[in-house]
Formats: sequence, C-alpha cells, structure tokens
Amino acid sequence: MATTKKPTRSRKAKKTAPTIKQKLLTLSYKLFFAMIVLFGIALVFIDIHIRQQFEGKRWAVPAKVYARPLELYAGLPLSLGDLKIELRGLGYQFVSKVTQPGQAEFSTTKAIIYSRGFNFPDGNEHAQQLVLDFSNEKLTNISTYQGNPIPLVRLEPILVGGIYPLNNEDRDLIQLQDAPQGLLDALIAIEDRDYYQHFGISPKGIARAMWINIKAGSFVQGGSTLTQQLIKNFYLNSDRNLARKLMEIPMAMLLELHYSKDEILEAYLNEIYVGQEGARAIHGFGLASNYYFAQPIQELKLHQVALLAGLVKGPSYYDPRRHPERSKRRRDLVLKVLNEQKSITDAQYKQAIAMPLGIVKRASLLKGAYPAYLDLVKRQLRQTYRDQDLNSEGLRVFTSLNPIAQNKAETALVNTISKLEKRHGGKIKKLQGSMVVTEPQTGEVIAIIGGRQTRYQGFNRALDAVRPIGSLVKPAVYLTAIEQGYTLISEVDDSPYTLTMKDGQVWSPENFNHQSHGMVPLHQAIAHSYNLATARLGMDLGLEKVINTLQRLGVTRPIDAFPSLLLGAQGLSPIEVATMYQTIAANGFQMPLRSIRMVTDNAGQELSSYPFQLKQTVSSNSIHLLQYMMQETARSGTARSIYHHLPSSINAAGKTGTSDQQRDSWFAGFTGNRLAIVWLGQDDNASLPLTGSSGALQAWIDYMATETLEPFVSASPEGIEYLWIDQQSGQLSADHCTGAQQIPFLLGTGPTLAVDCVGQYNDPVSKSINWVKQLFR
Amino acid sequence: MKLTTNTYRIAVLTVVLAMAGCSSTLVVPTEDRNSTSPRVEQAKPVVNDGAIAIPLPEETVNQSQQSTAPLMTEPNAISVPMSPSVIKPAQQNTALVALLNEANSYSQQGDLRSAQTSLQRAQRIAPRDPQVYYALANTHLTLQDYGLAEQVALKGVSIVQGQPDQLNQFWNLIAFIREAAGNTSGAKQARETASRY
Repeated sequence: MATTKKPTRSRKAKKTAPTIKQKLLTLSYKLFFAMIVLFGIALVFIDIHIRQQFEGKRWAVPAKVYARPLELYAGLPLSLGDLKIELRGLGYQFVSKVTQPGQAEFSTTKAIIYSRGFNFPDGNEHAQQLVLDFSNEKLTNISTYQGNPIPLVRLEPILVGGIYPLNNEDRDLIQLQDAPQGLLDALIAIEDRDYYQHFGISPKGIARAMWINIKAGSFVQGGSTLTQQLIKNFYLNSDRNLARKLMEIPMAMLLELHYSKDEILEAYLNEIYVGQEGARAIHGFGLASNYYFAQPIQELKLHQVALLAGLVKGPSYYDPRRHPERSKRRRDLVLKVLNEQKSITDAQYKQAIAMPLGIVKRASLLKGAYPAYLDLVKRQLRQTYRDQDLNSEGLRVFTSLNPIAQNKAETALVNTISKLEKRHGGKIKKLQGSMVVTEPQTGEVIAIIGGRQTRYQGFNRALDAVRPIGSLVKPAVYLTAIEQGYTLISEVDDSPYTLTMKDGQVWSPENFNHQSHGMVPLHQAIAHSYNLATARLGMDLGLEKVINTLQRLGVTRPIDAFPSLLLGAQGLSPIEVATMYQTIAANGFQMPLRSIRMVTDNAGQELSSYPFQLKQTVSSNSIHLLQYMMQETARSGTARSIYHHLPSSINAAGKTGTSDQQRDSWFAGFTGNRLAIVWLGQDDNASLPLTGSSGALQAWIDYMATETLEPFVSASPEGIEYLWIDQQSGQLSADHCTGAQQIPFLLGTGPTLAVDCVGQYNDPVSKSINWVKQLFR
Repeated sequence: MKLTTNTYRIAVLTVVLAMAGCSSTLVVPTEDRNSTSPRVEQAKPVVNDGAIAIPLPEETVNQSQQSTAPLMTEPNAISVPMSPSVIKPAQQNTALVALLNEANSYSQQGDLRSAQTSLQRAQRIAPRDPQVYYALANTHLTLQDYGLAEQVALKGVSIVQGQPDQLNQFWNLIAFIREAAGNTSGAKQARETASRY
C-alpha cells in the first residue's frame, strides 16, 4: 500500500510541480501570444501612421515672402553698385567669366549676368545670359548674349523671409532631381554605404557601430541607415535610448516595404536637421544650401555638397561658422571617402579639398534681414489668412520691398544716429530711429526700419511708436486755410498769442526761437514753421475743419480737438505719417499704403491680390498750392539744408517736425520717386538736443543722396496761375524785379495792383485797400 | 440709353489706340514760368521718366534778390520751387510698350485681371504715363467697378494737365464711366469739360 501510496504521492507531487511550471509556461505562452498580437496590432497602427504621414502633407511649409523682383529695362535709373546689392542678395557669384546661372561679371560700364529664371504667377522668366550697359547711373541697354535687344526682363525675387510654424522648423522643399548627384553620392558614402542594398536596417552597420561603442565604452555611434535616420527625425523624438532604437527598426523596415529608395531619399533630403539660427531650425538640404552658401542647391559644387553631407552627423559640432576647422576636416573626410569609393577622381578630390569652405556670413543672408518690413506684411496677411495657413501651406507672398532702397535707408539712418550721438556726446543716449519709404505715385511701401538695430525683431517703431508729430501737422492747417480761401500771400499774424479755454486753462504757444514775426505771408509762415501764426490761423479756421483735412489726408486714428493739435500734439506712428504725406505727394489722391502685391498658393495660383486703389480727397488746385509751400520749405525754409547736399533739380517738398520739449525729431518729404518719413527720438521720451532739421532731416538727406532720384514735378492744374509777386508789398511785380517771387494762385485770386521795379506802388491809395482785402481772404 | 459693355470696349480701345498714336508724335508744349523773361535764356530741360523740369540758371538770381529774398540764399538753390505747367508723357519706353501690348492682348481675351496685373507692372515702371491710367481705368470700367475706374481716370487727368488732346480723351472716358454708373449729370459735366479741349 505504502508502495502504492508513494507513487501516488509522488505522482501527486509530480503532478503538482509541473502544474506550476505548466501554468507559468502557459502564462508565458499566453503572454508571448498576447505580445505578438499586441505587437502585430501595434505594427498595423504604426504602419497606418507611417503611411498616412508619409503620403499626406509631410511638412508644414512656411509661407515664403519675396522682395519685389528687379525689373530691368533700358532707361531704368540703376547704378552698377545698386545692381551689385541686388545680386549679392540673390547670392550671385561674381566671376571673371559667367558660365552658369547665378553668376555675374562686371566691367566699369557693363555687367553680364546669368539669371536663374523664376516662375512668377503672371508668367515665367527663363534662365538666360543678359548683357547690361550702364551710363550715368542708368541702365542704358539690355540685350541677350547674342546681342538681341530685350525690352524688359525680371530677375528672380530675393527671398526675404518666412512665416514659421510653432516648432520653428524652416525648410525649402526640393525634389530628388534638384539635388546634385554629388550630394547624393556623398550622403550615401558617409552615412549609409549600403543604402541601395539593405531593407531599412543594416546588420553590418549595426555590428560596426556596436564594435566601436564597445571599444569606446560608451554610446558614440549608431548604425543607423538613412531610412532609420529619417524615421528618427520624422516620427520619433531624438532621445538615444533602446526603446527608440527598437521602434526604429520595424518602422524603417515598414517604410522600405511601402516606398522606393528614391522616395525615401527625397524625404530624407527635406527632413534632415542641418543647423540652427536662434529659434529657427534649419531643415533639409534645400534650405541648408541657402543658409550656408546663399545659393540654390542646383548650383552647389563638389566641395560644398561634401560639407553639407558631412554636417548631418552633428550640425552643431561641425557648424562651419563656429568651427570652421572642424567642419573642413569633416568635409575633407567626406571627399576622401568619395575618392576611395571611386565616386570622384583624384584630380577632383585634390581640387575640392583645396577649396575654402565658402560659407556666407550671416549678415549677407537676406532671409530674416527685414523684420520690420515683414512685420507689416504679416499684419496685412493676417487680415485675410489664418496663422495655420500662413505657416504650413507653403504660400508665396510677393511684396514691394525694395532691398536696394532698404539697404540704403538702413545705412543712412544708422550712420546718422551714430554721427549725432558722437556730435552731442553725453546729451544723447540710446538714440533710436525709424523710417518708412514709399513710392509716392503707386503707394507701395518699399522700405521700413523699426529701430537702429535693423535686424532686431523687437519693437517696431515704424508701426507702433505713436509719437507727437510736431510741425508735421502744419500742412493740414495750411491746406485747410487754402481751401477756406486764403492765398499763399494772405497775411497771417505771428504776434504773441494766448488762448483761454472754457475750463480756464491758458494756452500760450511760442515760436521755436521765442520770437514773434508780426504779419507774414502764409507761405512763409509754413516754410519757417511759425507756431504763433499757425496757432492763430488754425483757431480762426476751426479745429474741426483741420481734423477733417487730416482725415482726408488719410489719418484714421481718432483725433482730439484740442488747440495743441495745431502744433502737433497728436501722436501718430511713422507709417501713419507716411499715409498722410503720401496723399500730398500723390496730388490729393489718398491711397492705402501697400506692402503686398500678390499671394499665391505653393503651385503659383493667385489667392489674393492687392490692386492699386485711390480716391481723390483733396482738389488738384489746393494740393498744388500746398506742394508749392512745402517745396519752399525745402528751398528756403526749415529744410533748406537739403540743397547743401542734393542737386537743385530734385525739387523736393517736405516738412520738418519737432515735438514739445524736443522729444521727437521728424522729417517727412518727397522727391519724384521717393517719399521718406524719418523719426528720431528716445524710447524713454527724453528731450533731445535736436530739432527736425538737425536730426531726422539729416538722415533723410543722407538716404536721398544715395538714391537715384527723379525730380518732384507736379503739373500745374488749369485752375492755377503763376504770378510774379513783390515780396515786400505782396503786389504784382515782374520776373526781372528785385525781390520778386513767382507764386501760384487760384485763377482770379491774385493781386491786381502792381509795383514798379524800384519798389513803389503804382497806386498808393489802393495799397491799404488791398492789404485789408488780403486780411479777409 | 445704356451702352453695352462691348460698346465701351470698342470706344475705349479706339481712344487708347489713338492715344498711343498721339503720344509718340505729340509735340508737347513745354511751358515754364521762368522762361517768359526776355533776359533769361531758356535753361536746359531736365527730362526724367517722362517729367520735365526746367531749372533756373544761376545767373537769374541777381545780387539784390539774394539780399532781400531768403529763398535765394542757398548756394545751390534756385529762386523758387519749380512747377512747370506741363508734364511730358514718357518717352517711348520699349518696356512700357511691351507691357501695354500685353495688357491689351489680355483685355481682348477678356482676361481683365491679368490685364490689370500687366498694367500695374507698367505703372511701376512709368508711374506718370497717362496710357497706363487710361488702360487701367478701362479695365475697371469693363469690370463694372465704376468708382475705381473714375478715380483712376481722374489720376490720369492730374498727370496730363496742360495737354488738351489727352485731357479731352480722359474727360470723355470719365463721361463714359459716369454714364455707365448711372450718373447722368456727372457724365454731362465731364462731357462739357472734355469739349473745352
């Protein structure tokens, strides 16, 4: 029995022991099975995810913002120096003999450029060699290399910025065929030599990396294939851990299962991270080419593509700007591998390693160089487009930014500020400035400066610094006077003036020099910017009328009807001042200032355009008289230093402005082809030892002196007649008489009596009558 | 009676062609208020992108004037602001002609938006050429954007001051536009203005 029991027990015991094992085993099987099922399900999900992301819109592509294209035609005011500014912005190489697109050669009066061509929304410009002849700061002739004349051609526009998504990734998408073969060879040679043989992962590569890691005692190298790198960048985060590695492998294999090697390589070229500029992450070789060489990728040479391929391993470690020697060693290693693999000949190798890195300085990159202008563009775009469309749909935004004018304006403003600080020593600290430049006939904004650090993306003074405009308001007062029947020689009273307001407050304005000038003709009161005359005149006219004039000139901001308005207590931003003066420069036609010409989708289809719009709000006659007075301001008034530096023929018109306690120095003025508003001041609103004339006007002059100017000429309207006037008496005179000045009048409003040339009135009795008449005009 | 769009196009096209013809042959009378003096020699005109300005020669500013008139104290300055009564249309600029032809061809195909794009390009090249404004006003007229059409035509008027032929054509165009917009009295007024030239 016992013998029978033992086995029973032992059977029981035997039965019990395997049961636990079995249970464990079964559990393991189940777990294993569940894991396989879960893994399978995960794979299916991963597969769906991979395909969706790969086939759908892969990247949020920022909107691209372009400057205006430079139009080339015979007769264009353009110097060789201007052309060089433009071509540098476009990343052209200056060579002794052009052979390919993106190159230019120069002699003293001639330039040959090989344009790259561009697909504009309204037609394509193809790449071609252009021969340009220059004379006296003008493009006199333009022809093909064969000598055939070309009436008009557009250069490609400079890419000046983008509107980035929240992750700050920036990229210019390219297609595989855009990439130079050398880049593909170099990438494969240095990063994944088995690329075209493996199935997403490379056991050989992993083994090699493991061996290196064991030897180093730490994780120094991954055996990632290009496919794995794409997976890592595209789908996963960049943590180096085992879990990520484990995910990478099946994902890479799945990707290879669905897509061809070329498709994967193209995605890689666009995805890979290659550099960092502040918050902006540089992705893809299309943008890398521009970021490091300021050239399109198609134009890169062997030594350049080798550098880009070498960067992939560590864009920060091998940053060619911060670590040029390290970067060159890496580049030369890439070239050496290419040579060893017989992708390049010995001669090519030797030639390439002898080349310098050829990296452009950040300062020469125009993308991101114009934050203030871009700010205006973005504000206008946001009225029509959602942020997500702007930063992801690859929109193309064509603006009217003129990089040549912007460059000149920046130089003038920054230099003037430095000069003024130097001249006034400790009296000016941290002088700031801003500027708006427009084309007066079209209303296009061509340059904006938001502060003396022109590349700083912070406070945009041109748009947001609302400061008292001082005497810049006076043209509105004098225009109102003209509309109310004053002539340019109507006498106004510049004697001391005190106004007691309803609430008992007393307003006693003063002239800048604290002197009064008695009775003065209207035109001289504005030319010399007399405050007493203006205050009295404005109050006689009525504040509401002056406000109405300001509104007709384009000021939309609510304006308080305080007497101090007449001397410029009202605050406006420089861009608002530009809108106001634009109406004066454009003969009374108010036009919205435009910075955008057209927006297209990424295929070039027009989404919106911003056509030329205008509305006449001031009569041609009245504006002509005002223009005359503003020309006189430039000839002999507060802005007369213009003609110390600029040719007499430009016939500029403008107005100086100095705010209360000299906190702001303004100048607003125009020639035939440029209107510029300059503001100087301090952010803490401190007083300055500057007036509009000694401050802002100097920057305006410096800028205009570098521009190819056209004279401001306004055709005299039919209702205007010019008469020779004796300045002493205000009576008719003749052109050969002493003290005679030719002055415009509305037909029939001029004086009827004449003086002779020695200054005697023909009819002394009428003198007093006429004087009284003038008073009541 | 209301005119049809086609009638406008034909009428306007005829005038545009006439203008184009005129501008190449038109001898522009250049007046300058400084040139009336028998003592003063005609200064050499400064021609710049279609505008003509005649600076006064330095010798016209005599010593006594300099002492009495602050206007003449600057070494470089001429006596007074310049404002000739006539602005010459742009010299035949091949780029401008190419763009006007392109715009014309778009208009004939009925693609007025493209025509406007070409004309705005032309405007940037020659912002004071009346043909640009005439053709641009015409596209707005055809698109029945009468308000803007009239404003663009008025801008043309401001440019061709002193040139009777062109003033006549612009005021007739304004009359067309006002008529189309239903502004009969305004049209009559514009026609009367046109008839003065």
